[in-house]
Amino acid sequence: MFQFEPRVHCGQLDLQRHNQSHVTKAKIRCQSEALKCGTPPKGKTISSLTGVPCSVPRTPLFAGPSDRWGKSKAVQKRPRDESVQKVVKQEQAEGDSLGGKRPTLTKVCSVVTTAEGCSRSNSPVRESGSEQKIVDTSPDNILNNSPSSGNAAMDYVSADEPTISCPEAADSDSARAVGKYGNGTASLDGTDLLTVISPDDLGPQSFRDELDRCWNSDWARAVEDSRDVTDTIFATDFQADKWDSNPPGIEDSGDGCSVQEIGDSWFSQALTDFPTLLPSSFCEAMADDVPTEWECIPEDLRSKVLQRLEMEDLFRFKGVTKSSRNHIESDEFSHLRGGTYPSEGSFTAISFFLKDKAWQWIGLDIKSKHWRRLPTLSCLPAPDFDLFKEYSVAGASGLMCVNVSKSSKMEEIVVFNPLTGKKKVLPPLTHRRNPVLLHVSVDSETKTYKVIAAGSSSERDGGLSRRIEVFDSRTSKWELRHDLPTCEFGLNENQTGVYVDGILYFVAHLEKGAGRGILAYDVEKDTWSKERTCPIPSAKDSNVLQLVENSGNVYLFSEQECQRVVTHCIDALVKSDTNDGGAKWHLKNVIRVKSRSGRGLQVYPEYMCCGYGPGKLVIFNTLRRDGVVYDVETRMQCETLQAPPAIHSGDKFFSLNPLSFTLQPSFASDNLI
Amino acid sequence: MHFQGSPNMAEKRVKLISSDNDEFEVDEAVAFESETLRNMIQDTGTNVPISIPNVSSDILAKVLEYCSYHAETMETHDDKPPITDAQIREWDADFVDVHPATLYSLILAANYLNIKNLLDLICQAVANNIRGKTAVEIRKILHIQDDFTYEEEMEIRRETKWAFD
Repeated sequence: MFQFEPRVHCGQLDLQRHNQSHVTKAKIRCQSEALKCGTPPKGKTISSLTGVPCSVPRTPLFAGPSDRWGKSKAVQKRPRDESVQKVVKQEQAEGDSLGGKRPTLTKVCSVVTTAEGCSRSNSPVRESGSEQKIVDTSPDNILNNSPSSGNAAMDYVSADEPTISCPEAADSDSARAVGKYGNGTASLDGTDLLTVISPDDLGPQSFRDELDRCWNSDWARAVEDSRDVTDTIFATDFQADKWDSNPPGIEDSGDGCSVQEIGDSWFSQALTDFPTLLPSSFCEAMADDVPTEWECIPEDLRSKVLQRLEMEDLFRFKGVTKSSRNHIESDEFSHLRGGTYPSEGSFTAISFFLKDKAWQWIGLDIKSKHWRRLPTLSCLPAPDFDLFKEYSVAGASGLMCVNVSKSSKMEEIVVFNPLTGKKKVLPPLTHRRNPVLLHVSVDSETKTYKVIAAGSSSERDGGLSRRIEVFDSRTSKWELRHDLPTCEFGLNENQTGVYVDGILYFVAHLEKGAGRGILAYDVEKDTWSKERTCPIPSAKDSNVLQLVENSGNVYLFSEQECQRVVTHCIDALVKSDTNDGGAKWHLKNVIRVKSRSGRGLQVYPEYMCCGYGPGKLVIFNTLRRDGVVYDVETRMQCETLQAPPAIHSGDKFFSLNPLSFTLQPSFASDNLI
Repeated sequence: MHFQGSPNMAEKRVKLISSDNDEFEVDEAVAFESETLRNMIQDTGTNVPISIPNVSSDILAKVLEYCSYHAETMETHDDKPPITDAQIREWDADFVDVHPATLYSLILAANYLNIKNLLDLICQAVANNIRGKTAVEIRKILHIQDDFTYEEEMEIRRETKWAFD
């Protein structure tokens, strides 16, 4: 047997026993020079630690991997009555691991530990005065303790399994170990903290049952708490496969997202392969199974606390316990929250991306001027990234409306609350088709909404291209209205239109052969307003014509290209009196600026215009996600909009129409649906 | 003539008895910070000690400390400058800088005694403790145990992952 010189000096000792349950925990701080000064010789494993008093449950829960821990097939579970194994991982310095070398090496060794008062009759016990001790229980039952009393020591002995490989690099400066022995866990991390935990009063079977019941979440918990170095190692160990392509970044989050990064594949794999491996936090959690003060507080008082949380904190809180989730998802809570906060913020410059195979989005909170993530749109089918642009998306107040159909002949229109996921799939249109214009408007007083669908994107539907239908939430029916006063396919640009004082404005070709103009439809009266109809003089030079509403006014944003010079214009739709006592609407220029970048035709449109609070509009670059804010009163640039941090983006995904609306997500919107 | 709660009666004292049978004596104005006590006093007068069976001595002491200070801030003295809002905020911040378990007891006490400002203050303090934390950290702070199954945990993680980015 190879003897590795023990050079671990004992440091601080911290023993504690949880009162409420049968968990004994010992923490030892030690100078693990043995680990610091180099790696164990090839083909060897750490097989014992001494210096910690222990009795040893000799119940191995798993055996070690062959060549890599991350590979499931390399690990074989062993009968529970075999010896206990400990896994040690030697990490190279981060620079090395990034330099392309294998970053990790995992090792298996046997470790037995006991903490105060948990001796077992059939376990080898080594007492060293009143000190603690860890005794070897390698499969061949060889005790190999360094006799240094008062010191923690490590011995490297022959590997149990010939397939175990060793660290290639001898210069690693940190070593970490996490072990599992009998009913407890032991861990040694690179910060010289050895933690030994043993639930000593549980029989193997009941412990096992307990573990089967709830180990998963505790696994997740252990890894998530990445400030706990020990627990992180579990993640990196198991992640060996992923480390190849994905160098160690998962430890530095500290905000819980690392777990989710590796979540699905890793946890399900780990669940299959290591059902008996257990992080220390499991035992700690077991110590806390009595109801706490928080749970003793009546729900209405807990609601009072939760009412004071921001949207993000509220959603995080859903992940705490089942009851917290049920509480926040309850109708009563939605009602209460919606009463306290009519909206969770006012979001503009909304853009979508795909991440974790789900539809994600981000918007600029106008009040705080910060980019904020919004709840994943998991109530809808995720867009197909290959299509790049897929759905028509409309929004107003706290409601969104999306046509999720993938067929040009059919529509499937869903109205939903993006905050809670509560949704309603609208009945089919009278004339089934994929509409070009999709609009939703909310009447907050009557708590009703309307959806307007117009035009058709199928080239064979000439007759349908002038149809307009209105869905009213009060009747829950589509109503066919008077056709658009345009030629066939006069409405051919995907848009939501803007809705001001009962009038829906949108851009369409006014007549055959004529240029584009603004059409105005009175939704209540079902009439097309001639006086509000307004031709757009610059239409033929414009690549983009898009309407946006701000403070009750209608603005037209256009991107004009003339002799290779690209200009952005914002015009206000204003009313003027005519000689005969009538009124007429026309466009009045507000902003005219030269475009800052060349046209990027891979996304069309590259620029769009949306609201930025009262009297302010932002010309927003949908690719870079930055923009320039203009004050429509002073007609001057007043702010710039910085792009969100890179972490807030995945694969960009665009709606068919520009998202010019401002959204005020609200729990109260559930009442509308 | 007898005007309850009038400035002349400021010296009037109220006796309160906590759940562990300790007796507290405070000015009526202090007790009036609590709607519950105000109603009781108006019903029974100040001669009878008022029993508060579900608030322990240490918590009641804390509550009365709050009530005394806030009753004091309402008073005006000619010789002293009035206490500013900033000072009150600072005092309140110190007041809630206690162990979470104490906060929970205070929530219950403030709710029972119906002291709206105190309840708001404590709820805000608990909320502040939770702010910006992960589910795991919140469990630690609130001492609550995770009871999700693996599938549920994964589902809720997927759903709420956005809030961690």
